[in-house]
Amino acid sequence: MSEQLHLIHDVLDKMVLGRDKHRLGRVDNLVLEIRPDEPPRVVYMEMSGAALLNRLGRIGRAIARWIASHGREATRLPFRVAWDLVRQIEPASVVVDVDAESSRTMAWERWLAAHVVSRLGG
Amino acid sequence: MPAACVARACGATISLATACLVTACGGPPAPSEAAQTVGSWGATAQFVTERWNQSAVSRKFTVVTLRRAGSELEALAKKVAQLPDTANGRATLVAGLREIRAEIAALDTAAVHDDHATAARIAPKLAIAAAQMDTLGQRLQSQQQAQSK
Amino acid sequence: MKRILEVALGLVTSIGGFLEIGSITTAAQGGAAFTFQLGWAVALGTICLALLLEMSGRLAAISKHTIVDAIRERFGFPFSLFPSVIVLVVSFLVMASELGGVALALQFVTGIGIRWWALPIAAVAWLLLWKGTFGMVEQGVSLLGLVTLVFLVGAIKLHPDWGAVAHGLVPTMPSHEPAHYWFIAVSILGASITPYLFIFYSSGAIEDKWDSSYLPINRITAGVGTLFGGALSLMVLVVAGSVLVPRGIQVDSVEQVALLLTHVLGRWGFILVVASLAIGPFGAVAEIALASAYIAAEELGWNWSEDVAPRDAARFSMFYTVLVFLSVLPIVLGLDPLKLTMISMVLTAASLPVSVVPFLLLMNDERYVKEHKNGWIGNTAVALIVLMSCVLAVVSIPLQFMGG
Repeated sequence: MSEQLHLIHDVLDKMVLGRDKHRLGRVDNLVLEIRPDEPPRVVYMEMSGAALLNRLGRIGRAIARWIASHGREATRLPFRVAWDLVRQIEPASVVVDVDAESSRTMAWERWLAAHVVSRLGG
Repeated sequence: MPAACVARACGATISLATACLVTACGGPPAPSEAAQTVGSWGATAQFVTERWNQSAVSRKFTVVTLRRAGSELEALAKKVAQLPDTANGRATLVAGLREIRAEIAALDTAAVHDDHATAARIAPKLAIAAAQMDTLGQRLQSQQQAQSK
Repeated sequence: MKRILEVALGLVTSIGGFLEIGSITTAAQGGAAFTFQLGWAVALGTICLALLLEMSGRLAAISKHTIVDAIRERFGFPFSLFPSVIVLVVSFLVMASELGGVALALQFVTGIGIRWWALPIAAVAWLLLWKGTFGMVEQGVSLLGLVTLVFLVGAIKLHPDWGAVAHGLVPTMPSHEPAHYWFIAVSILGASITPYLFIFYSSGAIEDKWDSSYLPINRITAGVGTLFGGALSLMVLVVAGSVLVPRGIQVDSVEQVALLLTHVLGRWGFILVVASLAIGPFGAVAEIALASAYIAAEELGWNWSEDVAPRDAARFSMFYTVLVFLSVLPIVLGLDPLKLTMISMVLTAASLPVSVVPFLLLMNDERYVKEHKNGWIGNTAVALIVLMSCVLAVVSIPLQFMGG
């Protein structure tokens, strides 16, 4: 029997590492595609605050909707990594073929590093 | 899920705890508790003065401690004033509190002026007053416990 | 040789880094109010902490997960958010009280009020975190914290009734003020079993890249080291019981703690106790800030490490930066450090099950700890002590403040 993968246990909420083994974030949500006359399949892993808020029930979803309606374009779109880019599922992380340092999910990290941390001598 | 139940129970406990702790700030203490607290601060003031006279602690620390004792007893005096006139031991408590506050104020002045001689003269009187307050507190506490049985 | 040095350093760190404002003041209050009768609370808290620290090191070494990381992964975000937020809030209060402790120690030496000291202390703690490494934060301050051995020296010189001290290690009912007795017992337990300690420990094990070969070191530093540290806490209680009870002094302020060894050790007794009141809490401020940043980063998947430059873990670094400077507020706003300490210790005890129960479940999950699962003794001991702490907190808080 081939090795099995348990999406909830082995993927959801796991740490995601990029190509260079730097942290990208966590798998905050899994997106499946519903196809007519075919079984659903996993297409994306989502990494975003909105995905997390949507898992917190009514209040979380309401906050996510408010942010989506008032935020900039970039904050409205969740960061998604295509399932095809998954290279390895390790005990402590999921490794994907994405450059962590330049990805959109690290935008806040880069902004803080450039505009605040470096000015404080960090 | 059991873990979620534990989480909710703890959330409720923490809210209760916080509410109780916040509401604890008001209300007069029991006379027995107040008397022991007065005795404790009096004894603290006497102890720090004695140590200062032995050069075991600095003058700065002595002043800080005496001022702390003074401010704690001032706050306590306001609460004690809320006790009903008929409260057991109230009169003795108020008199003792007044005496100890006066002596601590005198010690504070002596410490500020580096006057060891005056401090050495006041300290034994303070020790006696503090011990009397502690004894009063314990007596009132025993009476309280006997009444509640 | 390298491992022997690591064990030695780990032991020294556990001893020197044990006492901080919570453990010192709650043990002193216990001793002043009930002489040696509350020794059992110190012992129980210490044993529980030793077990939890050993477990957190074991989890990190075998699973390569920190506690927060594993809780998020195993139980999912909606559940893991709750203990993380609770621990962050309670830890913030503890951090503010530790900062207040350092400020008081400096006030005792200089006469300058604590409100003026709060910001400079936060700035120095921040600088240590910003420029230092994990080793410097964990071990550097703990080595200085060996000054707390003065309580052991003082206790020996006071020649207490050691039989009575030993008797106090067995739980007994109080002869007077039962509500106050149980309240102090809860606060001692909360001071010993603070969640930031084992969260910090597991993150540190990952920082130091522990693997299964570190399990023996882990057992020694977490187990033996913590027990020695707890013995120091017991010595504070013994000293307070020996010195303050005959004088009728309760511990209502930290000034009374500073006087503890002035009679038996003279000027040095004052200097070293004040140094203990400054160094231990200062280390705790840095550790709590770091532990809190670990919680946020591990929960949300940020880059984190104290061993990289702040720009390489920008969100992590800014989180502890904001927290350290926010912790100044309670002291600047005039909250009494001792009252803040008591509140935070009791809230810690009340919130323990939230962080410990999922942790215990992980320690029994083969997918994380493989063949190194908990034995029934460890499970039972931790579960009972934590449950007892929470129940006591629920019962004693209303009793204490509603005239029980």
